[in-house]
Amino acid sequence: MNHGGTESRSSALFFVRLCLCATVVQKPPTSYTIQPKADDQTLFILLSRVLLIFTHFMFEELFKNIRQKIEITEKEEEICRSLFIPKKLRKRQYLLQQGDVSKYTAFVEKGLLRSYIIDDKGTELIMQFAPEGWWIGDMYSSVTGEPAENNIDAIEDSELLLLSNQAHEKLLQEAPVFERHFRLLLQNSFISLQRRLKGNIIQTAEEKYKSFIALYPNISQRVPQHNIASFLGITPESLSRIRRQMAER
Amino acid sequence: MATQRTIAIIGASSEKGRIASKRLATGNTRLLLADESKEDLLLLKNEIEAEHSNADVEIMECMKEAGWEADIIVLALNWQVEKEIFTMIRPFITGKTVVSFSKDNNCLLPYSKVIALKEDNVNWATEMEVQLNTDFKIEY
Repeated sequence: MNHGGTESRSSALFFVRLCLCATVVQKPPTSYTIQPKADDQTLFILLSRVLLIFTHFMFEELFKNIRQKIEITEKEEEICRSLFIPKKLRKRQYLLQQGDVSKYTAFVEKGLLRSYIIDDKGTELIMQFAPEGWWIGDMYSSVTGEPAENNIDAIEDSELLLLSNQAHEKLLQEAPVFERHFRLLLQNSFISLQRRLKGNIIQTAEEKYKSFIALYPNISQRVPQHNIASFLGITPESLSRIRRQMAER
Repeated sequence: MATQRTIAIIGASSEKGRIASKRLATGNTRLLLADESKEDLLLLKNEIEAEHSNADVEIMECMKEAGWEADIIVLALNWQVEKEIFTMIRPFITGKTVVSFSKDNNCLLPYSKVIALKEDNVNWATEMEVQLNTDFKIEY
């Protein structure tokens, strides 16, 4: 019996289980069936390619988002893959807590996050929601290195791509085309902030809710009503009344 | 730092994995235990929870998922499966801190911050704890 070969086969099969996350398979290695002609090396290469395809989906939303603003090459995609940190966050887990220094800006591939501050009475005041395709972070803390004023946590189980401050700089150095991308992002963010400020000053509660629906068309059913009310700066009762009135029309 | 850190111990049932898990279960840490045998992990989880009543420990059925979710990854593996696991989890641990006993980790994990420990160092667990408690910054 070739003991070395058995070890090699056993480890290759272990790899198959890892890749497929096949936890249902509990039989010992000798009972697995594999194609007699498929040697371990072929199997290994094949599964590496499967993983490569899988990781393609991990960056799908990010590249879609980037290509809405700029054109990027495959090499620039690769630079992104080497700099963005893939991260999963469970519902209610924090990305950032008030008082910590923010190290990352997050791009949401899947799921939903929120950013909020807590007032003196302990009430949560929602600053931003971030569904798929949105960026979220505490820019003040990232830029100054001062403790963050915002909390950021997950409303749903989420898949993120984190960009550290150092990685951001490196991305801009290695792929200057991203200067334009981030400039456009900041422009849009500034316009959005101006609109929100204007809305808070002159809009009625109903107009604010309509602006919210326009800004976040797909999340009103995913976010608790009191969170939406907090974002709009109105009471949950007022929001409930507005929604009822709008439904009756 | 108040934000909870998530640490995945891959190969948690091994001797090194058990020691690392028990060392890192304290503090503001969420521990993800991953290995082949769920039964062994369940025993380890019970042991940790008996020693540290406020420990936040979870058994993960998939090593890839554990690596994806974690901020820090401890690879407590035997050499036979090391290379395969490195290859598999590599896309999910870009930019993360990885504790490893392997000699090849730098070329196999080019985009991670690797803390290389030596198995023959009797104080490896203390060294690991000290290094992880330092605020790691990934330098590009």
